[in-house]
Amino acid sequence: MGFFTAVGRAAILYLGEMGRMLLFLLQFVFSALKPPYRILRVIKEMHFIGVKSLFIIALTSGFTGMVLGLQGYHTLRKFGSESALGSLVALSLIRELGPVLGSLMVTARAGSAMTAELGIMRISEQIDALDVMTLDPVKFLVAPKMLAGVLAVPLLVAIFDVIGIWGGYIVGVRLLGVNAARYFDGMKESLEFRDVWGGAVKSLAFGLIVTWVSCYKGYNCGHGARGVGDATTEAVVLSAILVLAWDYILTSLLL
Amino acid sequence: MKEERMEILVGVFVAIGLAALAYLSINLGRLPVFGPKTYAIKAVFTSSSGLKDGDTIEIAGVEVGKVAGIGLKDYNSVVSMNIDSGIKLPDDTMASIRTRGIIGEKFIKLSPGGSETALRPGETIINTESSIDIEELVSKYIFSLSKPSGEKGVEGKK
Amino acid sequence: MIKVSNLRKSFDGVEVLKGVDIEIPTGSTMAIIGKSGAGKTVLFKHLVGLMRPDSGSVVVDGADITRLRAGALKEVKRKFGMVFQGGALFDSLTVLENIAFPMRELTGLKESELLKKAGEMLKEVGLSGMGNKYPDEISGGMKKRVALARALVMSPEYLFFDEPTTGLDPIVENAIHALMKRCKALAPCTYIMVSHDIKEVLEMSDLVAMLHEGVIIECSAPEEITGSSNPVVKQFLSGSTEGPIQMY
Repeated sequence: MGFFTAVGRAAILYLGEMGRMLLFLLQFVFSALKPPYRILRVIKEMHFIGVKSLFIIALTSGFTGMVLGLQGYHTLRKFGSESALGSLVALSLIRELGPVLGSLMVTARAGSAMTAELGIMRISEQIDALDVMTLDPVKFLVAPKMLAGVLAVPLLVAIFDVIGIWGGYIVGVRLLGVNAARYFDGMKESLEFRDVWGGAVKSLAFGLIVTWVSCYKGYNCGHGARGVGDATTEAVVLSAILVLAWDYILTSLLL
Repeated sequence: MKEERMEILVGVFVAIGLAALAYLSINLGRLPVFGPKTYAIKAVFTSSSGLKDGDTIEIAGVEVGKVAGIGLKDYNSVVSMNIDSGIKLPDDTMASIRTRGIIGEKFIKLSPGGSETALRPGETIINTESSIDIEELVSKYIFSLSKPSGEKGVEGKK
Repeated sequence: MIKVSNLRKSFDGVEVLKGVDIEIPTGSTMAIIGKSGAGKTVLFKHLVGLMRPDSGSVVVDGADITRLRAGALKEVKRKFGMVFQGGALFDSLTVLENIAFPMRELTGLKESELLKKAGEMLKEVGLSGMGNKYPDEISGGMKKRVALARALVMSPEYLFFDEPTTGLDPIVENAIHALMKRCKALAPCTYIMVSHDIKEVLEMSDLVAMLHEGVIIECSAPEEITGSSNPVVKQFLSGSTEGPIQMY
């Protein structure tokens, strides 16, 4: 009996949490659609999520492309098909690594900070203060962050892809001597618009997931410094898990 | 002043991001909207085995278009092709499905004939050569060895 | 007037409010007292519409805010101002911007006008010259005063104080009390405060309600409550460890 009670209790807990998260998402959608639109706040959040993540995105994508070039070259050379390096680098980046690694980096840099910010505003009653002033905190605080996430992450991922492709170029072509024309022609040959579109759809979805989870966890954070810490950890872990799980689901839908 | 600086930075970020997206879609992914203008023609093959959407169409080794779709009509394969507008094809053009390299990437080779009239958009190439099935080829070869008389037939593999 | 009837609320199966009845007359200063964890803050959050009860009603000037739709609730909440325990100032804004904030977001006032008004209000609470500081650069007492200014700037009809002077030194405490009294004289409104500082309660309020184990056990003028025969009230006012209130 104890086993079933425990399973039942856990199921109710998780279902309840999922329901609350969905309600939170609906709240965001409705409040974002309702005027007044606070464009300046969205721009501020774009600055935080987008502009300030550029450096780390450039760094990680450069190295990702370079290691793809290196690994791909040595694997492909065994089959004498180094000329496929361009398509290997581009396809892995655009379909998978760009959206996944890009959004994981955004989670680490911006998502955790958003959770902490909202969490501190929650425990210091700033969110309640907005509410008493009749300003909807979801509209005022959460909606700009989530909108900015949905807008900024696809752009960051596109930048990730391009820098990664050039990172692969530096290692594959400049260092290891693959023919430059072959690198890019192979890429153009195997890449279809559908791949780019799929990558964009993924990054859009991941941008929403990351900001959604981060805002939800911060907005509903527990008491005290410990509560903010726990919320931040949960936000990062849950974002990462959801990004990877949805990556599988979206890949199977898009293929 | 501070806000203005932030707005500029965000503007630059959005511009870079859109440029990256455009580079990926147009230059690498060849987004059809901005690609060269094309017209559609069809060709009927008895078999288009191995051919896929997006495979290239070539004349004398130069790419002139792409496979846009493959369908079935009267148990024959109907392949739709998008040909660059600049290329005029005579109506007796021959289309053949060929294999490139050892991995077996398929493409369509067009061999223009000598006719004066050009194919108009939507028209169909009748003169075609289907994909060559290696297995079939091998079995034919074995068959012709065992029966040097060159008699046609499929039965009697012994 | 705010009239609370049979207000009930439980969290995870534990009933915190077990049928609270209380009437706050317009223009009065009502103090809600009770030991820590008695549910004062929960009651408070129901009064300002931050929480919805399981059952019961909170009627503000004839409108039951527990049943109002979002739009109508907003109209009622416009009458409220609140000074939070820690001030709840927006830490990304300066002191002056904090005071200007509700005007900027909720009124059609021009930027120059609202900054002028915010500056005047800052002077009113004795903090002129501090406008460009950020909340984490000023002391707790100053934060409370800025929070008061931020609440007053919208001329509320009901002003709620969550522990107005907890954690402040006696001089700052007196300064805040004087400020509260002066503001009330300038713009008459109803004050509702939660406190467990007996001296403050007796000095400031003209009605005292004691919340104990989820219900209001006594509600009367300060002179009467000091002579209460209820052993719980007696023990609480005297601060004795001996009596019906259990220590834990």
